[in-house]
Parts: sequence; C-alpha cells; structure tokens
Amino acid sequence: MNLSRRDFLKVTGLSAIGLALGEMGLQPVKVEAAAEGFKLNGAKEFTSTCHFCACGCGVIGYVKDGKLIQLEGAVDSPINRGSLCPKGLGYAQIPASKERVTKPQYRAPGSDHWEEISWEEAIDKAAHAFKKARDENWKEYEEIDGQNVHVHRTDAIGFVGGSQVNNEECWQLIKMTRALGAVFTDNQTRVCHATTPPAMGAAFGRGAMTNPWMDIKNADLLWIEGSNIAECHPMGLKNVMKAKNRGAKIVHVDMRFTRTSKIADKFLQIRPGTDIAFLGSIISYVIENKKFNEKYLRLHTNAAYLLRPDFSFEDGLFSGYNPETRSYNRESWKYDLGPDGKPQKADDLFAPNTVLSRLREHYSRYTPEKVSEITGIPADEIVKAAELFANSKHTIFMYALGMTQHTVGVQNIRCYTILQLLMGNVGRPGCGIDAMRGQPNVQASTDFAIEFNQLPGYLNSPTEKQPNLAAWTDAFGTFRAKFLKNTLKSWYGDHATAENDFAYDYLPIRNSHHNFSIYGLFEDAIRGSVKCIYVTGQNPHVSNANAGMVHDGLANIDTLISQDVFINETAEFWNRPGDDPKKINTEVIFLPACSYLEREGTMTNSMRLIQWRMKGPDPLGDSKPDYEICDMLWKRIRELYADSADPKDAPVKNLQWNYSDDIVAELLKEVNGYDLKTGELLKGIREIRDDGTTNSGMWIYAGVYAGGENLAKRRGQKDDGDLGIFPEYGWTWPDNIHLLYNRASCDENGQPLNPDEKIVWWDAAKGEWDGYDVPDVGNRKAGPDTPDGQKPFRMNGEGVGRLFAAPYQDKVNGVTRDSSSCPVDGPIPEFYEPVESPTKNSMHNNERAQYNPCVIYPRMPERQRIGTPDEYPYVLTSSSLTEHWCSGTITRNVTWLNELVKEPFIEISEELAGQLGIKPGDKVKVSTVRSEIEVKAMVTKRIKPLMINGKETHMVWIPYNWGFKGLSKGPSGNYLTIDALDPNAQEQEFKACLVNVKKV
Amino acid sequence: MTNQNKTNLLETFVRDREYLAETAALHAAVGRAVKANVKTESFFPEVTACAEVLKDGVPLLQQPKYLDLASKSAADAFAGVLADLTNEDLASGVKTVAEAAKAWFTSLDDASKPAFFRDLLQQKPLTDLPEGVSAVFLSVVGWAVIDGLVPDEWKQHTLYTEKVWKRNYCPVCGRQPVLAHLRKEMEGRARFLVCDGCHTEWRYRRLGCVYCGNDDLKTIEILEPEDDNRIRLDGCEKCHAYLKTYTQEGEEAIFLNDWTTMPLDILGEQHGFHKVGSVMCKDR
Repeated sequence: MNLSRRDFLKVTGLSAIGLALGEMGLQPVKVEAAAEGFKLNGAKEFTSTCHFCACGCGVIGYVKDGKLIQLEGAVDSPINRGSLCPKGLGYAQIPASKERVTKPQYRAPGSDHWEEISWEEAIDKAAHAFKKARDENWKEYEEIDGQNVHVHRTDAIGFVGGSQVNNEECWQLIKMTRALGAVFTDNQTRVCHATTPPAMGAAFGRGAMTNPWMDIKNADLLWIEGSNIAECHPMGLKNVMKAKNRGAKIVHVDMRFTRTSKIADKFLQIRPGTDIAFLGSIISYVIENKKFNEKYLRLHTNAAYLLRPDFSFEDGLFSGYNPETRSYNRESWKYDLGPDGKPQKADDLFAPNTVLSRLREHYSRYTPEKVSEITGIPADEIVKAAELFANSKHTIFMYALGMTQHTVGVQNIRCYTILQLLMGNVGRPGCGIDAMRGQPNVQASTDFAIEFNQLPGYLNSPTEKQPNLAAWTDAFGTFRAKFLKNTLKSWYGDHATAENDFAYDYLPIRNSHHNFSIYGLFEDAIRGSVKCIYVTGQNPHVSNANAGMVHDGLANIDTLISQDVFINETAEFWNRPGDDPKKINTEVIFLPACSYLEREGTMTNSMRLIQWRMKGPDPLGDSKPDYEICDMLWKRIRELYADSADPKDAPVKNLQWNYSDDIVAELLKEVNGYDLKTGELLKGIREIRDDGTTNSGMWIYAGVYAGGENLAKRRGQKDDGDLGIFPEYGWTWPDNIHLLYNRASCDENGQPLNPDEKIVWWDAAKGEWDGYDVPDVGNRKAGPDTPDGQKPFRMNGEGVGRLFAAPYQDKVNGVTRDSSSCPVDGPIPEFYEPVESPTKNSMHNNERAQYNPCVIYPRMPERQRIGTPDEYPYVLTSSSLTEHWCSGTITRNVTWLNELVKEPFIEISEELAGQLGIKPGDKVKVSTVRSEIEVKAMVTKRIKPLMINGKETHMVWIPYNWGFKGLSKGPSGNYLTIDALDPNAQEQEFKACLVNVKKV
Repeated sequence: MTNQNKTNLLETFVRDREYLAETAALHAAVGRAVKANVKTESFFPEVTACAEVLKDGVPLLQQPKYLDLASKSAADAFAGVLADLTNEDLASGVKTVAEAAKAWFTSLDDASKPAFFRDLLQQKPLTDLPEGVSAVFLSVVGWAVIDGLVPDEWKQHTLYTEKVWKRNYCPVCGRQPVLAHLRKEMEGRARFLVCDGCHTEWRYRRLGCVYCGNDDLKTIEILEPEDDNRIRLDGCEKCHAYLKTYTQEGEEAIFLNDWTTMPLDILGEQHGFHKVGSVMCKDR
C-alpha cells in the first residue's frame, strides 16, 4: 500500500501535536476530537494594482469560492504602503456589482432596447461590422499635396481605448488596429496627457515622468501647478507629505484653493490658461539673477549652442509663420551648424545667438508687473515665488491636467523643462518633473501607441512623407529604425524580412494634414466617413470636450462596439433622455468585460513601473477578460478573410496571432521579444538587433521578461542608498532605470556633481557605470572619456538637454542616426490667451497672436462657435474629485462613493454669488456657446475674483464626472467645454472656456 | 488592555473549550513557576542599540556572549521552575513527566546544566535522555524560562522595522516563527511573526511563505475555519509548511498563544501540511 502522509495520519490517528501532548502526559484525544468539529475552507490571497489614477497602488485581495471577500492596501508596495483612497477601496464592490450586465447585448438600428445575444453571435456581428466598414471604405491611393500616394488604409474604422486595459490587451488592440489598416486610434491619453510626451520629449528625449513616486521624499521644494494632487493622486500626496515631514516646502498654484492648497506653504491663485506668463517671469528671474547652475548648463544642456541668426520673434510670432496654413516653417529655428554638421558652442553663455542669450531676451518681456496683470497674481508674490524656486536645490514640479489641457499644453510643460534644465534639476535625486498620469494604464496605452500618430515605443507612424522604410529612417534615424523593424518582425514574423523592408508596406500611411485624433474621429463620423467604432474601456460621451459632438457622431455610424464593465453613456447613447431612439440607426454591440480584479496581466503606472496583477475572483457571470474578447474577435476577423487573395488583406492574414491558454504571459513575452537565433527572451534593449534576428515587439519594454522571468511580478524591498529606487520591485522601462537621465547627476568625469547625492557613477576600477539605480547610459562600458559616456540626454540627437527645442538630426557619415523633436508652435514657450478668453492678449497687438497662432478652430464652424466675454463673462475650469473618477462609469456604480458625493455642482465665489443673487444649494443654469446644463451652486471662499488687465474677472469650477447612466445621474459638464486643440497634440482646452451662470 | 482583561479573555476562551483545559492548566502552572523563579535579565543591551547589535543578522541570543549569559541564567532558574511544577495540582500524567524531568535535570553536573540550555537555544535535538524523560516537556518549560529572561522591550514588534530586521527567524533567539499576526496599517495589514520560544514579534514581508520564501501566491493555500475568520492557516504547496495566522486585533491574548488553536494544527496536517516553529514539535 502506498500511503501519503495524510493517509497515514488518518489511519494511525496520530498528529504531531497529538504525539507531543501525549509525551507530556496530556490527553490528545480531546483535542483530536475537537478538531473533528472544525471545517476548513480554502481561500487565496492575490495581489494587483489599483484601477483608478496612475499612482499604481498595490492591493491585496482575499478570495473564497471564486468571490472577492476583502480588498486591502498592500503594505509592501513602496508606493502606497497599505494606504488606499476611497475609490481604491470602493472598487471592492465591482466584482459582484448587480449593475453589471454580464451577457453580450445587441441594440438593433432604431430599437429602443437591448437584446441579449450569445458571445458567438456578438463576436460574429462585430467581426462582420469591421470587415464591411473596411472593405467598403478601403483607400489604396490618396492625393496628398499633389502626389498620388499609396496609403493602403481605411478611415472608416475607429479604435478608442487602451488606458483601462492591461498592457497585454493594449498590445492586442494595437496589433488589430494596424493590421486592419486603421489610422483612427486613440485613447484617454489624448484627452489627458497627450501634451506631455511632445513637451518632455523635446527637452529630454523621452516623454515620461522623470522620477519615481518614492523619490519625492528627497526634494526640498515641491512645486505643484496644474494639479489637485490631494484629491486626484492621493498616494502621490502621501509621498509629498514624506518630503514635507523632512522639511520640504510646498508651493501650490491653482485657480482655486483646494485640499492641496491646504497643505501648501505658499498658495497662488492664478487665472486658468496663464501659466506660461507666470513661469516665463520665473525663467527671466533665474536668468537675470544668474541663479542658474552654470556647470550643469555647460555640461548637460544646449545653453551655449549657437542659433541661426535669422531666428526671430516679433509681434507674437516666431520666424517662419504662414498665416494661410496657421503653421510654421521651422527652418530658421535650427542651430547654426558648423562645417561638420554639428552644433557650434560658444565659450560665453551669453554670446550673441546662444540659446541662453535668446532665452534671456525672450523672457525679459515677462516682467512681474506685466505678468501680474495677465495672471491675477500680485507682482510681489511672483517675485517671492521666483526667489523660493531659484534658491531651492532640489525641486520637483508636479503637474497633471491643469497644465496639459490647454491649447498651449505642450508649451506650458516646456516651461517646466526649461526651468529644471536651468537649475540642473533633471537626473538628480529629489529633482525632476512629475507628469502625474490619471488613468491606471494610460502610461502604457501611450507607450503602446494607441494613438494615431505613433507606433509602439514612441516611433512615429508613417505619413505620406515616409512612404517607405528608407524615407522613415532618413527622417527619424537608424537608431529608431532598428526598433521599428523589430515591431514589424514581431507582428508579421516570416512575412517581415530585410528583403521586403520588414513588411513596412503593411503599415497604413497616414495623411499628415488630416486630424485622426479622437476629436477628428467623431467629426468624421458626423461627416459620414466613419462607419464602425470599437470602444474599449472608455466613455467619450462623457469625457470628451464638446461632448454633444460625440453623441452626434455615434448617431451617424453603422456600428458601435462597446467593451466595458458597465453599460455606460457611450454604449447607450441612443437612449439619452429626451432623444428618440427610433431616429438613431446605429447598431450597438455590447461586449461585457470583467473588472481588473477578475483577470491577470500587467499595468504600467505613472512612474513607468510595470506591475503584475494576479487574477482574483472569477469573472462575474458570462463576462470575460478583455484579452479573451480580443482574441475571439481577431480570430473571427481572420476567418472572414481566410480565403481572400487581395493584397490589401495580407496584413490581416499574416499578423502573428496564435496563443495558448497562457495567452497573457505569451503576449508579454512577445512585447519583450526573442532572440530568434537562440529562442531566448531578450534581456534588454542592448540585445536588440536590426537584421531580423530579434523580434522585440516594443523595444522600451525589452527586459521585462529577461531570460524567461516575469520581472513585473517582483516584490523585492531592497533600496540601497535609501533613495526610494526599489530596483527589485516590479520592473520599470527602459532597462529598469527609475530616475531618468541619472547620468546628468554626474560631472564630466562620471562622478556625482554633489557627493551627498550619489545615485550613479563611473567605476573606473570595474570599467563600467554603476549605481543604486541602473545608470541611464547607452553602453555601461562606455566611460566618460568616450562620446557615449557624455550623453546625459542620450535620446536627444545632441545627447544633451534642450532649453531651446531646435529641429535637429544627428548625422553619421551623412546618414541620420537620431533626430530631436520640436514642437510645431515654437522652439520656446510664448504666452497666448486661451481660445475663449475674457481679455485681450496684453503681450501683443497682433490679432493673430491673441491665441496660439497654430490652433485651427473652429474645424466645423457650424458646431464650434467661439464664445465671447460679452455673452459669456466667466472663466470655466473643470476637473475631478477624490470620490469620483473620470466619466464615472465605475465610481457612479459604487454606492459608497455616491453617498460621499451624490451629484454634480458648480463652485462659485461668494462675490459672484452675491452679484448674481445665488445662495448655496440654488439651482443655476450654466451655459456656453455650445450647450447648457443645470446644477446646484456651491458657494465658497475658495475662488476669489482676480483683477485681469484692470478688470475684475470671475472663475467658476465644475466636476465633469456625471452622465445619464449609473446609480448617480447628472448632467455632463463636458457638453459645455470647448474642443479647441493644442496644435502639437490635439488635446482640448478643458481648463479655460467662457460661460455664463444664471440662477434658475 | 490591562493584564487582567487579557487574562479574562483567555480564561473565557478556555472555559468554553473543555478540550483545552489540561493544556491551559499546564501553561498557567509554567507561567507561575517562571514568574516565581526567573528574573528578567539585565545583561540585555539597550534596545536603542538593536539595529547595531543585529546588523549582521545574528540573533541576539545566538551571539556568543549572550548565548553564554542566557544559558547560565536559565540553568540557574530551571531546577526551581521544575520543582514548583511538581508541586502544582496538575493531571497525574503531567506530574509524572515533571517529576522525571526534575530528577534528570538536578542530577546533571554543573557544566551540563548550562550546556542543556545552550543546546536548547541552538535547537539541537535533545538526545540521550533517559527513559521517561520527555524532550517535549523539557523544551516547553525550558523555552518558557528563556522567554522569562527576555525583557519586554526586546519583544516589541515596533522595534523591528524592516531596516532593523527583515529575516524569517527571531531577532532575539533565532527560532523560526510559529505564528503570524496581521495588524492594520492604513487601509492594509502588515504581517508580524511570533516566536514560540521567547514570544518576540517582528515585522516581516506581508506575502508568501515565510519558511521557504515561495512568493507565488497561487501556491499558498489559505485554510480558514468556517464561520471564524480570526485565525487561518497559510499552507505552502512548495515546502508544505503552514503558518498559523491571526488576522484581527484585540484578542492577541488568546490567539498569539499557539496552543489555544491546536485543533487547527491537526486539521492542517490532515490537509497535508506540517507545523514549523513550535516548541512542542520538532521542525522537519
């Protein structure tokens, strides 16, 4: 007989405890008998990361019988150390929410109700809708700028969403999009942080938050402008409070006094949309008073580089402006290159035409008095703020949508990059720019390029200017072409070879003159050219500006496919109160996804930390993980094309898509990529080759699965140096570097600029770069005596930080190695008024320079009028609350959160309330030129009127998180907001438009 | 909570569970005997120096100087403890075992007595005991004596932050933990480990098997009594050890005594797991 230990004990009746009791002369029988009265049930703990803002807080769940019993903060997460905000805790209601519809639904054209359908039918309908839209609206050639360009794409399909799904699902979505030849693809990043990557990228080479949440404790000044961190990134604040407890000062600049202002040492109330004026005066202060870090400027920036003499700025416009196209020819913004094609440097930082002297001249116009008139901040307060900044050694700028959501969003953030480079505050512990992302996986949906203008890993999506790989390489450089080839190899396998340019021809070619953003998508839907829209985890009906356009667009397409945890306002747009569903002929397919707790995968938080999320409870009812839905959908689409011999269908047929039950791990491995010679998973970017023998799906994530180990699962607590790096907790892109540009913390010899803040260093004995963090160098063996060892900003063509974002291509033997990016609306920031402004731009008399001269608005004049202050005298800013989140799809279905904040409202000052006869709680009508809503008034002391250019100006504020679905219903604030867009990033101006307020 | 309240809590718990009566009586008697014979020792360093003292990862009582001092002190007190126990009104079987233990220990020469405690502290198997002398009994009572030597401030969980101690054995005596305790920390819970020898508590990582380091939570089976979520067993499917875990706060006086939940140990074994860290059972 082969007895297991368990069987043995059952047979003998002896347990270790029983034996011990017996040996001591006690009677084990009673205890053994008592044991029979107990029944043990199995349970499991699992770890995941929270699904609201992009702090990426760790959670631990407890599951029994497939059900979630408890959700708590993970004490071992260096980010939140056990804390969770009310939203994070409230999510525990979602896995068992009665509000969830867990079977696929179909709404027929003209119908006023949903019908339940099978998964098979739902997927089949969706696949046919894609095929029909694609086949009937295929564009093989298009006339662009007088050329007949082979574009091989369709503009009839739109993909929306990515920031709410895991990395592996983002990867599936972008593969599907591009293989179908679709260019319309976008996600919430467009609406939230689209302006961040171009701004940061133009200065530093990468578009992401520069340092980890846990590094915040090392700062001595936290400058929070454009964020209500206390409410919107509560665990970001937890780290701010650590710094405050160590003596750091906090400055908060906002249009109203919030919970964040409450913990600040200095609060400045600013008029929305005037940050560039304010920060411009601080730039001027730093330069005029020589408060800059001269050594850093010379070593690590382009401050001493010479600009072309024909660069100019006059009457509110940079040189090269074309009023017809409202765009710049950027030729005169370039460096005055030497005979070797490289930038020339002056010995004197202030020699004529140096970057620094141009900056000095440009910002000398931003006097405290002038800026005070524009911003409403008293002039002496501006000077005091500048002094505080200029005398701080470790400053972190922290911002979110208050900076990004403007028609000058990119240039707003550029101000931060200039100030930090001037002070030498990039790449050092306790310094940097924290772009606080607002959606759980919006960093990754940006990384994965669920954006019309990108390919995975921040590679440009091809336009008519890059019809082939050679042209693409010439424009963007051999450095990046290597990674593009890898993505294509990953997607198309044996069909991507060196001989066929790695199937570059499978990529759709975008028309660079057309707006393919989420705003362009709904405009084209209204125009009738978009036929099928697939929305995954996004609710544009509530979250887009001028949201009425979304509604009208959805009503004019053939098919809407909505994949979400709840049926939200977008999915049920046809049933909007007051509308007649019979008149809406869009068919709608609803695919019920399960919540984050019910599925596995990875997410990337704001600090680029990739963390593994385990599956906890079973998916509710028949709901399914997004990865499974996408898998079913693509397989069905591929089946429909199986017999096609049409060359246009080759990308669909040849897309690599064969996954087993271990699909999630396989997807992440694909993103990491393999060495095709050995079959091993790549260990990092350094192993990627450009000859077709590696296939890293997205180069910046290469290494997350190094050597076959999923490093995103790590929970190590090591933190040598006590800097808050935690290099063994999860894995950060790129190469597990936590503090980006940390090479800039060293001098020309590779030694720390300040010995007290060691983070990385050149170890001459070992002959390599070493540190508490992974050194941000291209080659760890390349010492400071080599050119590669002197590139603190190695992702820029110049290898240094760019105060002035000159267009530049670094050439080697005439071939572009790498290029630097330059905003379309200026190499340095200039203040312009918002499109809807209560005042004239007092910096310029030129009418063209009233607002950003590159903004094209209206794009559809009949639907996009510009309100004027005579009709709409007040400035509206909208944002969010601790208790509700984004469009409210999730939070308005959590009863606890609805009890905390039950309805939308408008916050107005006591002064304005007095003038309008409004008492707290009164119903008021809020109107813009676009729409009007009715909400209750909240009258506070938190917003004061400001004197702007000699006139008293009032600001009002609304939360935007409501709609007509969910347990808490209310009017959507975004019917009011303006959809004028930043010309670089197509992001809307949520933070400043004109409204009128009247008591009802 | 006052000591009286703690005592009441435990007494009430035991009163409702007849099967614990004998064991409770033994532990109470051991407690009285230790209290009467063992003095908290003054050779312990100041707790403020704990980070420095523990920096190399060697538990205090395993460091040669303290191993020596503790063994001598414990040996000096042990005969008195055993004598007291033989005078207690205990079940007859236990009395016999106590008598045998006392007779054996008092027969040892002066050098062998501290050597016994040295072996105990170093967790060497107690071999070569004469027939009728219980190794389990000597271990239970011997560790209670060691426990009595350790000043309370060295047992406090607040002392052992992750910077001071992040190992899976007791910072004071070096034993593996027998229990874990989840204490609320913000919106989460931190895990503290409990030593069955000296009852020191120290902070440890929240997740995974404390014994073998397995951190694949899919292979950690949690066994929880039906209708009682206060205590559970976290069983590791890799090393097959389980860790009894008290998940609440307020009833530490009951649940941080390993013996109060012995039926769970029996069930844990029936589920294929084994116990680690107990002074009663040998570790495997």
